[in-house]
Amino acid sequence: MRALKVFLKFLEIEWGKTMAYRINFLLHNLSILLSDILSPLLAILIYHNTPGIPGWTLSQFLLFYGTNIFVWGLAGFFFLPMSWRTSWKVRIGLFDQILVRPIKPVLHLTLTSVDLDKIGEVILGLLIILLSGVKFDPIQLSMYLLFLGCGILVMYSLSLMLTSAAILFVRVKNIFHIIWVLGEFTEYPLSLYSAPFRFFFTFILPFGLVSFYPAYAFFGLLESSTILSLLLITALFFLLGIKIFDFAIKRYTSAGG
Amino acid sequence: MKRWGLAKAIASNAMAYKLDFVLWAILPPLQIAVYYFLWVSVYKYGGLEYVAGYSLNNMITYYVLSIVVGALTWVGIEEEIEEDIVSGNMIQKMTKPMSVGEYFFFENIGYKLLAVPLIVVPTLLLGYLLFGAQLTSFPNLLLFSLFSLIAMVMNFLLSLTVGALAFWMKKIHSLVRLKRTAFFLLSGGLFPLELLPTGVRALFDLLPFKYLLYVPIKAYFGEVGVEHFLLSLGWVLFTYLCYKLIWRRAYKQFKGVGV
Repeated sequence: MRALKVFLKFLEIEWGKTMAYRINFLLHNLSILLSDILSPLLAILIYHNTPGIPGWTLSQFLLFYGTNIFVWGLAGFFFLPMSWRTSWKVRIGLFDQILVRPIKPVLHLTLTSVDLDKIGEVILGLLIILLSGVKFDPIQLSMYLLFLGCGILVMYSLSLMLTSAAILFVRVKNIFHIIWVLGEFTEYPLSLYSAPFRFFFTFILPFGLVSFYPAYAFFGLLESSTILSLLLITALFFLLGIKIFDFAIKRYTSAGG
Repeated sequence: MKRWGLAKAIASNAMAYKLDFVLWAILPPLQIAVYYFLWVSVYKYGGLEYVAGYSLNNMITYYVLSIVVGALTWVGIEEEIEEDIVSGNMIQKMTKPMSVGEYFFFENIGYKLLAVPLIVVPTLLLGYLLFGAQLTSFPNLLLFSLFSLIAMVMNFLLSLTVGALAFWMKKIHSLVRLKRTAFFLLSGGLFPLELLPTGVRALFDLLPFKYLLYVPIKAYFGEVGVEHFLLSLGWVLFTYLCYKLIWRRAYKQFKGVGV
């Protein structure tokens, strides 16, 4: 209840800040929407000019891609900003304040990281999923939602790791940049890439769980052993995120502000 | 001479951040890899020799060159103009013994001096060795360089024009992001324009943006004529006039706030 109060208060502050620059907010969302429709646009052109992407009909691809935008959008809306905001706070000495507040740092950072600029991305993702034209079956839908949850948890764990990097190394712009470029691999199905890439995006940096495996689960293409492995990977990645964050908090040395 | 000194100083200053440049060199092959895997699977799946007139090799080469031309023509001055206006640094730039436009141009040249050895050359080498991109003849390479140079100047002038809007809007980074994404799409950065349906393609052809990327790549393939050269020069002239016009008004606007 207290957590919800903190979250709502921060949401209110963020709303005020965002609305101070309304045109900027509108343009920002427009630019995100335009960049988000690039990959579906290329996919549509591929289906227009060729038999298509192997193993995927256009509808299936759109469900996959809508999921991708939705999960990245949700992460960007709720918790991904905590990484770069923490980097900034550590640099100017504001991070110390978070450590002395009567709320756990991980919870504080999670609840106060909303970025309203990403709302358009969340809505666009949902729209693409709903308009993809795939038929929703209750069992497949529940499997899809389960893996969607896994994808969100993976992104949350990644946010914790990036935040930890910001606490430990301060100047982490380059690490963020690498993650965004690696994130481009999530824009197309993992099945297109060679085995080392598939391994990397399943076991090392499980971006496959962001959209590929949820879509595969939706179409009933996952075997039970794979399902269990993926759930285990999600749990381990989350645990790793928490452990790394705890380690970073213990190793934190103030900037002296 | 002073102008080239500025370009060299910018290049050596930027070299202080060596890790950034290692990244600049590592990331393009990753971006190419995404499109490489996508198109290889599409060609194989359809048993296709050509898509919209492109063989698989041509298609991969297109994406490699898209990164190369992108690196050669990339301009990041809009954010700098925004920051200069807010912080007041713009006044310093206005009092230098060269115009603000010239200052930004030679600063941009400084970054390009680094982009060539650190992005362009490694990307081309990896493109040829790792992704099987296609080599071209020496005259085509010269044409590619010429059209890339024109694209660089044109993109610079467009960025300077959009950057000037910061004199009125103050915050322009969202607008700049929108502009970059739109230019990327309209210039053929995402796909060769031949993939578009005829009607849409005709619209893209009417706009100047294809000269920023698509036309230099076509020059590499030896598929450009004198008309492309003349039209691209015409667009450069047009963007130059836009830049002059908007900056004249911007100066007045700036003085109008009491500087």
